[in-house]
Parts: sequence; C-alpha cells; structure tokens
Amino acid sequence: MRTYRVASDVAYEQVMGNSQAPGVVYAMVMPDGMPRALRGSAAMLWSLVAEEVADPVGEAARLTGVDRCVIEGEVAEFMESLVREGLLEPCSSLRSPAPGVRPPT
Amino acid sequence: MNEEVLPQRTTVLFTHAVAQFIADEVGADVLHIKGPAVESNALALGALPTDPVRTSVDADVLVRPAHISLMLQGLTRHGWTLLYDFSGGSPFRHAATLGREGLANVDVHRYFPGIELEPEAAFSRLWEDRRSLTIAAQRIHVPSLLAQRLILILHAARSPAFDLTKEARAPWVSADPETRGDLARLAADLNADVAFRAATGGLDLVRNEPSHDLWAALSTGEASQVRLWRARVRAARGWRESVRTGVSLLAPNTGRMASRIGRPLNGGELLRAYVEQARRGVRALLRETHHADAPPGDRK
Repeated sequence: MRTYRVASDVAYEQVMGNSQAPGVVYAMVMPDGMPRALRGSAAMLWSLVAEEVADPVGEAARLTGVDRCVIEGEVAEFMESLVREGLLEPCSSLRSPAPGVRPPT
Repeated sequence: MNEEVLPQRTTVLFTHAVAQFIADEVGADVLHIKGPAVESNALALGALPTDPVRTSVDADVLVRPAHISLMLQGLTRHGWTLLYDFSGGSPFRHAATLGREGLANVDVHRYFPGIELEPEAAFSRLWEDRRSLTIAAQRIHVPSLLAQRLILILHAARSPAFDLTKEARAPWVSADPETRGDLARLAADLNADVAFRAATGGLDLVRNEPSHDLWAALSTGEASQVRLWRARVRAARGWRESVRTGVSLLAPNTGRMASRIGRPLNGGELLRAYVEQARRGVRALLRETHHADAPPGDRK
C-alpha cells in the first residue's frame, strides 16, 4: 500500500474527543478550499498519517481490533479520496516549497 | 466527510493560516497579533477566563504599511470581500476587515493604536524580533513575546470601561519586575508611552503629550462623544490630520450601515444619514455646553 502525508498547503486542527463527543479533525486546502470535518475512523486515520506513523493501516487495525485484511481495502480507498481532494499527497511526490521559502544556499 | 459549521476557534485558526499563505504568496510581511497568535502559555496567560485564544472572533494581522495594498489585493483575489475599509472600521482608522465564506473575518491592521512611532518604522522594529508559531499546522510570524505582551497591554488600554482590576491587565500584572522594565523600554522605542501608561499607571507623567487626553478618555471609559472627539482631534499629528480627523468623526459610518442592511446605501439614505449624524453632533455639543456651564454639583 502507498504511504501518504498531509499536503503542505493544508491547514488542519485536531480536536480531541471525550466520552460524550468523539474527536474531530478539521482540514482545508489553502487558500481557497472550504474547511471539512473528519470524524470517527476518518479522524483516526488522519491523525495516524499526520503523526507519520510508519504503518497506519496496521496501527488502525490494532486500535480498532479489526483484522488488517478486512480494513486495508477501505483505508486505501479513503486515502485516495483525500489525495483527490488535495488534503493528502503520496509520499513519493516531491513536496514543493511553501511560498516565500527559499532553498538554503 | 461532511461540510459543517466549524467551531469559531477553528475558523479563526484557519483564517490566520490562510492570511499567512496569501501574505507569502504576494510577498507581504505580516505579523499575527492577538487571539490564537498570542503565546498564552509562554506568557503565563493560558488559564484566564478571558484567555484571548478563547474569546477571539476574528484574526488580526499587522501588515507592513508598504505592503498593505499587496495584501488587500491578494486577499480579494482569493475571494475575500472588503466588509469595512480603514475609514469604516474603528475611529482609529487602523484596520480594514475582510470576510469569506466558511472562515472567520480577518482584520488587516496598517498600524496598532497606541504605537505612535511612524508606522513603517514601528513595523520594522517589531519585525526584526519576530518569532514563528505553528497554527493549524502552518507556520506564521508573530511578534516577540515581549511585543505580544505589550500589544495586549495597549489593546487593554482602549477597552471600554477599562478597569484596573480586570483580567485585561493580566499581561501587565503577571509580568515580573525585569519584564516590566523591558516592556517600558519597548513602549518607549515604539513611542507608545502614553497608551502604555494609560494601561499600567502614571498617565499624569505624560500629560503634555498630544495623545494624553485621548488615552485618558479611552482608559476610563469616557462616555461623552464630544470629549472623545476633542481628544482625538488633539491627538492628531499636524493641522491637516486634525481637520481630517475632526471631519471624519462627524461623518456617519456608511460602511457599517451598508453592512447592516446588506446593500450599499442609495442617495436618499446617504443624505438622511449625514443629516442625522449632524443633528446628533449638534445635540451632543449642546448637551456638553450645558453640562460645562452647570455648577459642578449639578453635573451628572
């Protein structure tokens, strides 16, 4: 499975959950995107990617107690949908420098 | 994944991040101030009920004056709409407000009230000590910790009904003696002594400064519009600015009126607004004159 990271032009905030309300991740592609909300397992997967966990699928399987084989396909599909929205990028893609950031000379 | 109404705090964070993105794109120097751009924990302000992070409803950015046009053009190119221009916002005419769907408004400051050093020089002084802060996973520029504290103090000085016991003074009260000395020196560097003393005490020591009456009025919650008007005219630099300030303060705030009714004012509405504002001005002056003529015991 491909590995992913949060795109450099994405602003996001993780709001921790509690027993009454599960955690939420809010994310938007800057500068013109609309903010979106990720809840439940989507929020969990985002957090694993944002924290650069080496094997997010394996970690998600461990956290949810579901067999890796069961969730792997769905996770891959979800990650690709976030790539299409511009929120994630595959790790193989070169990260473009942020505007105004010059390479070291 | 659902589109939904975001918590206000999140919309403010995202506005800061987007403002920095656009500033980088157009090459504008910006410093993020107040609200979540205040490093409350580093300043030991985090536990206050009036924590600026929790009470902020918009994002404030101080822009290098020479880059104001760049920044405004960048924002409008990305779909931000001008809600109040510099003359339609506060009487200080220091900030323009822009908004867009889904995010908190951004207040674009061309200077910060209370800092009387020439705005470009003041910005450069703050810029040279800037720090980086991560907000919504994005790096933004903020003033030094000392300058963050000073800006909160200057802001508190013009809060209505400013009260020495209120938590608005926390940035000053929580400062140790060494930091207080540093704050006074930075205030002097920025020619912000008057507003600084209005917030921290000792305003009498600068009673000969042109802006003394204005900050005395603001920091005590002066209710008389006439006295505030006189103080603002006195605080203006040079006769040209005095005249401009005096006239502009007598004009109705047509930007806010248009925003309230959701469309530009037509000719008749504009005329009525000017007439009504002039009437109000005359009534206030008459009240003030009557008040001044009355024996001190009769004044209310």
